[in-house]
Amino acid sequence: MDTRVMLVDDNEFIRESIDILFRTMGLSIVTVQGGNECLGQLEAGFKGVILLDVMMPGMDGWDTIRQIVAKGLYEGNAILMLTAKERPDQKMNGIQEYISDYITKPFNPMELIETVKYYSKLLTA
Amino acid sequence: MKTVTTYILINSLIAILAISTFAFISLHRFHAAEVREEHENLEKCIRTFRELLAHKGKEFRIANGRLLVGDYVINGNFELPDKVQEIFGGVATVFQGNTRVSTNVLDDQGLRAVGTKLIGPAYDALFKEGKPYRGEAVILGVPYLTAYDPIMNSKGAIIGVLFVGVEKSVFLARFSGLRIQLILTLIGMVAAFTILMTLLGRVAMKYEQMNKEQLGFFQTVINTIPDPVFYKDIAGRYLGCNKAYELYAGLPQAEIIGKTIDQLWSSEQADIYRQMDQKLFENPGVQRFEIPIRFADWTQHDVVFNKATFQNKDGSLGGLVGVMLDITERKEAEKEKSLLEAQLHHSRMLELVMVQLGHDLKTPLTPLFALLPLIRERVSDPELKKMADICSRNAVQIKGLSDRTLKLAALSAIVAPSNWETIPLAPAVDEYLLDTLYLSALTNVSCENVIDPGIAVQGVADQLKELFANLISNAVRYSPEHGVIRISAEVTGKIVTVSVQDEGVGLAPEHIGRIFDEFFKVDESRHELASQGLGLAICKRIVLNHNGRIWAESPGIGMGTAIRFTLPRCMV
Repeated sequence: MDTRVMLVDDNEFIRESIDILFRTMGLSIVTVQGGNECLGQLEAGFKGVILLDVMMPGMDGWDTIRQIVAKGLYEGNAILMLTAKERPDQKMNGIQEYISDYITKPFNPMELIETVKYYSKLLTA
Repeated sequence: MKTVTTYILINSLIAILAISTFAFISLHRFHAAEVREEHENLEKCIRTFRELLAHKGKEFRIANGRLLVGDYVINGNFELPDKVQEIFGGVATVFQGNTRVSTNVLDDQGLRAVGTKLIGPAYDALFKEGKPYRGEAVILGVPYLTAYDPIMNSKGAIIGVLFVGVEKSVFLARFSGLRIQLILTLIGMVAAFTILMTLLGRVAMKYEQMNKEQLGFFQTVINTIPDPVFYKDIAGRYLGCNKAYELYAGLPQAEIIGKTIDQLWSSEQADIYRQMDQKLFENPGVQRFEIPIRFADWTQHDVVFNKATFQNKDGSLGGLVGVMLDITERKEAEKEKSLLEAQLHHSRMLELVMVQLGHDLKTPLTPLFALLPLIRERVSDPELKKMADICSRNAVQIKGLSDRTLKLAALSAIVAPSNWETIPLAPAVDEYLLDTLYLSALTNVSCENVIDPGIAVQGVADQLKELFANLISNAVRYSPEHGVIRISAEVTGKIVTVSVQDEGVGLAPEHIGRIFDEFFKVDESRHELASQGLGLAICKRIVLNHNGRIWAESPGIGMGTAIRFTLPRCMV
């Protein structure tokens, strides 16, 4: 897979376990702990699939998307929301178009990989 | 009330009595005065008579059988008696000895009674005692008022009598004329007075009647007030009350009016009332307090007393009036309401905790789900693999529990009936069966949908889907190989009763009522992921959300189970 993958999640264990999972599968992944770091990566030139956690302290997933769009950093990326909630939030009004998919926690690891591969393919197409 | 009329009556009688007494006394004195005057008249008359005679001569003497004064012969000479009569009225006589010799007293033939004799008490007084006589006398059968004076000669011997008199009837006539006038006047006064009193009496009675009616109306009005009403004077004596108060006190109004607090109530209650009354009288105005009271029928009530002072016409404190408000029921309702509110709050808190828990579990579960399969892959030791498996399966179980908890919490949000959809039942059940096909296929269980195509229900689509999914998967799980599950529906009025019947393990009688309880498991040893014990609790919640009821029927262990529930029918 050529596309890069970024995980944005405030939970250390989740970052570590996803990192191990991707490495085991031979894929590379960048893990950051919050919205600001995510923006930093994008500004530094990251382009690819972003796995974005919804519930984070400070700037939550929705606000992070708004910032990405406001700073014009969306182009060339696909955003997949990682959410514990099954139902969409009211806060996502206006930014649905920037979200490619929802993945509920806890996710099946294989399914996660498959989904990431699928959207990365879309990006390169 | 009789008092005013009686008062007037009595006063009238007294007045009449007084007037009559006055009249009687007046008449009597009048009569006495009259008599006195008449006597004075007679004195004047007799003096005048004597003087007239004195003009004629100085001394009286008898000569040649005749009475003379000086040289004036009296016998047969009527000049002087007539003169006296002219001046005074009445009659006059000169007696020679006791024989009338000059008179204008007439006999029964109308002639002067000359030659008649003097008799009676006058004669005794004059000739036996030598004294003048004053008084009544009968002269020739006619009663007179008389005055007799002796005529004496120069030697002082009584040789004759001077007489003046007036007929009693004449005198009486004069008097009685006046008397009649007086009586008539007095009668007139009495009559006028009586008429006046009668009129006053009638007016008074009319006002008494009006007053009575007004009082009666007032009593009627306060009797319609369902709360006890009472009023007292400033001495604390009851002045009146209404019917509701009689009920409360257990006494008729007649036994309450005039009594004081201490005479009616137990000492503790009386103390409280007296204290509160006193406080109110010291600060005239309005008072309000609440105390528990035992009514006459021994029931306990919470009562609010609303009291106020009232003034007399002259502005002074007249007493107080009170209304008792029975708030026992209201308090009960308030207590119930607070209890319900507390319960509601408690269950809401519980739900919030559940929701939070459900969410919070997902975070630690994520690494477990991600890593355990990896561990399983990386280890070669079969035992280690097994251990990883066990860990995985348990992580899945935790997830299942968390999911269902969240689901249960989500279901307690009541969806208003106005937001319910119309769902044709038979096609919907077909769909649900498809969803659970993977389960039934495992054990070759077949499902029959025998619901009439014409039946439709109202409800929340997602919830009904969850409901059927749970029931069907339960039925499949507990069915034997090649078993049959039958889903049917009956319509009664506005209700559809659905049955999910299996040929499975059945239920013991003691479990039938409990299977819908949260976390209840018939077999505590079953640890499969789907049997956390919440499935049927969720079903029950969904059915309740649709105003229905759900219950289980089973002939016994090994004889299958039917879960029945009701849903609102769509009438269109």
